[in-house]
Amino acid sequence: MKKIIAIAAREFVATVMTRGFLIGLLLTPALMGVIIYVMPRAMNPASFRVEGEIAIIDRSGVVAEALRSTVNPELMAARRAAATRHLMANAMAAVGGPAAGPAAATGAGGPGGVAANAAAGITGPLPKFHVVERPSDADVAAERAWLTPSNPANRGHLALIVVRPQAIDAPHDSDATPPGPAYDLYEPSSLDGRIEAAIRQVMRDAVITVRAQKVGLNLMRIDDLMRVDEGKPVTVTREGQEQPSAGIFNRILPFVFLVFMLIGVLSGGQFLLTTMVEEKSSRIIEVLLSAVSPTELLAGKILGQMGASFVGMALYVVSALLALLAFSTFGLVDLSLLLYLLIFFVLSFLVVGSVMVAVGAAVNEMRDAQSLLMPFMLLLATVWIFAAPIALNPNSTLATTLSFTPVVSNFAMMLRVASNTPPEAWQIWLSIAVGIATVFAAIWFAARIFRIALLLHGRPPNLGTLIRWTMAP
Amino acid sequence: MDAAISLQGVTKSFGATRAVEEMSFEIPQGGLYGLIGPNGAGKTTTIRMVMSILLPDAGHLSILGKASALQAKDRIGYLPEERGLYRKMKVSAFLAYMGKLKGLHSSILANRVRIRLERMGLADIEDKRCEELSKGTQQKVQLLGAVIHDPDLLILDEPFSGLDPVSTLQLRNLILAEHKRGATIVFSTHVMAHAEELCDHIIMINQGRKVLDDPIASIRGRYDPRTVHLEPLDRTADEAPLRALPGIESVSRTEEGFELVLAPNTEPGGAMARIAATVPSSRIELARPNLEEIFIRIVSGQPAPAARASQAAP
Repeated sequence: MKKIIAIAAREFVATVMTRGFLIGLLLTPALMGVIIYVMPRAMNPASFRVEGEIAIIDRSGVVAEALRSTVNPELMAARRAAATRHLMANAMAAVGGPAAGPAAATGAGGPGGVAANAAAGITGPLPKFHVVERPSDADVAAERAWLTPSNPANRGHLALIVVRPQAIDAPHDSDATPPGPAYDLYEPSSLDGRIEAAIRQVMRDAVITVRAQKVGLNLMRIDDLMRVDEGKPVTVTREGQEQPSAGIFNRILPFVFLVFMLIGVLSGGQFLLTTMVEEKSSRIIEVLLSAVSPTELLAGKILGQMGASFVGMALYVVSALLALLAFSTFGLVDLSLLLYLLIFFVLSFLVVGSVMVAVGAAVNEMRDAQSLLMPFMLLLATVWIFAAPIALNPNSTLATTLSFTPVVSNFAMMLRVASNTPPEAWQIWLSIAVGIATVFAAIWFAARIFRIALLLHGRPPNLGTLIRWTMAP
Repeated sequence: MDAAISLQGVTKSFGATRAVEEMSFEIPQGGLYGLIGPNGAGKTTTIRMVMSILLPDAGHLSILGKASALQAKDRIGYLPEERGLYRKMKVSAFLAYMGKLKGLHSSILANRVRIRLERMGLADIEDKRCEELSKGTQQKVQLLGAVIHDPDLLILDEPFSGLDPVSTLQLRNLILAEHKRGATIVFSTHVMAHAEELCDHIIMINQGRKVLDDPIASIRGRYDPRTVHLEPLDRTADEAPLRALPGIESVSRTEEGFELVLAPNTEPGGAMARIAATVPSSRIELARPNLEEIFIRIVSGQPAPAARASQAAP
């Protein structure tokens, strides 16, 4: 045991003290931070400005007027601000934030207030459309030339809209034949998709306005009726105590735990694979084997790397908990989840680590390892592929099956226990039992490969050879 | 006293290739043995089986009285042919790590590492990373790692390969010092002069089989020198008077002069005096066959000169 500890200690120190580990430790959260910060901004339409002319041939006789009103900047801003207030009020309630509830929806003031600014931040600046009305009987074929680049007057000609007469009649479920499209849209060949979406939105608003007026409905009133501001949910514990509901936080939590596990297990596994290949190619292995048995060497390497990975993962977990503490939301996390994280991390690391060591011992170069590991990595990838379905429906057949499937069981069960509706205790224990059995199988497999492959050089083995080695007497 | 190493009918194959076949020998405690043979003879495979790094397909081994080297690893020092170091590790840390793996207590390691490095004249590299060392110095560090725990049995696989003459001398002195301390030494080499110079016993292997297992003195006795090289002052000297001398089995002309083979049981000193008296010469030399020549004779099926002579005798 002393030798295993000595090997594990060296592995741990050699890994933790490397620049790669420290950079990786900092780089991962930094990368996630960049993604969180940059991605919304990269995808944010705030920087995209929609401006130009829309020509309209209105065969219905009423939609063009409604369109003019719809694209009026002040009315457009008011509508957007109201929609944003509603959206934000419900979002705050969902995450249990301090500005939750109707007060947040109304307290921000009118169209020119916070909500309007938020609206601009979320959806970008208001589009500026100038409506050019063409005669209702204009020839479409001739009018289309208005859109072509050869037209000397074409500066910001975005679209030609031909409103059909039936546009003012709302389709009904009882219609024998659908009335067909409300309008036809002609656009230049290189029109940005976002401009087209903005044009369709204002046309939709205009058509609905006309239809509502026709049947005597007040659209603003309908909007009010459809707005349901949701209060902040409160969870009643088993002891009958009230506590803030985790809300959407609980939907994110399974993914957070999965990411912690995957980072810990895969980064540690990668280190194991790399060091194993390096030690084999640098021939230090035979020196070590003169001092310890292959089993001691295998155990020491895996334990050392597991310790290093655990340190990395623990740092992330502690940082996340401190962040929750800073936002007074520490109580949202059930601390027993950390125990499950530890159990499933250890089980999954032992499996992945054993396979990595075995493959590292079998090959002479990293590129040989990649092809040997492909089936195993594909199996692990199923966790990521099915993470969302498992987290959203943690007691589905898929989730239950995967949580008892060797190799992926630990990840799948972690997703389930961290979800809103964790499985029953017997399922968790059964999954742990499957995990332990898988660990024994993986270590047996690794030990067999390890013993045979360590001193073999030359042509790398294929998967069939590895299996044959495990069966060797 | 138990043998330090005992092999009985040990066989090892890799696929269709039989690397070691029916190998049996014993190495007594305190012996200084050379395991010699050409490249690919099976020396490294034999050593790896002795170290329990490879397991034999058949046969029995006993190492320091144990059924497997795994049970006596802390009493064995091993320098493999394929040498390796942790490149990024400092020399002192590497040696301390090897000591730890060999069961030494941390409290004595730092001091011992320093003393051993000083003794080897390597005190200045204590804090250097292994990758910063020359190849020769790396080999010395590896050897220090193999003996850091004062092993009872020291196994060295091709220890001299790649070393310059000065390093070779240092390594030779270290091996002799370890032997003097009481360690059993076994080293393999394909440079037979090294074995001849150092060992008191030779085990010769060819194509996975043992072809010779004798003390050096016995080998020298068995392959007693029977060849005399003669350079006459007169290069045109006749060989007939030499043939007529008693105890001369054959005479042949060479570029420098003559090569004479003595008859069995001929005392070389008297024969050489008679030859010198018969043909005045600038050089007369009794040629002793080296291990390499003996090895070539054995693998080519030629009997030892003494044996050949005795076979020829009526």
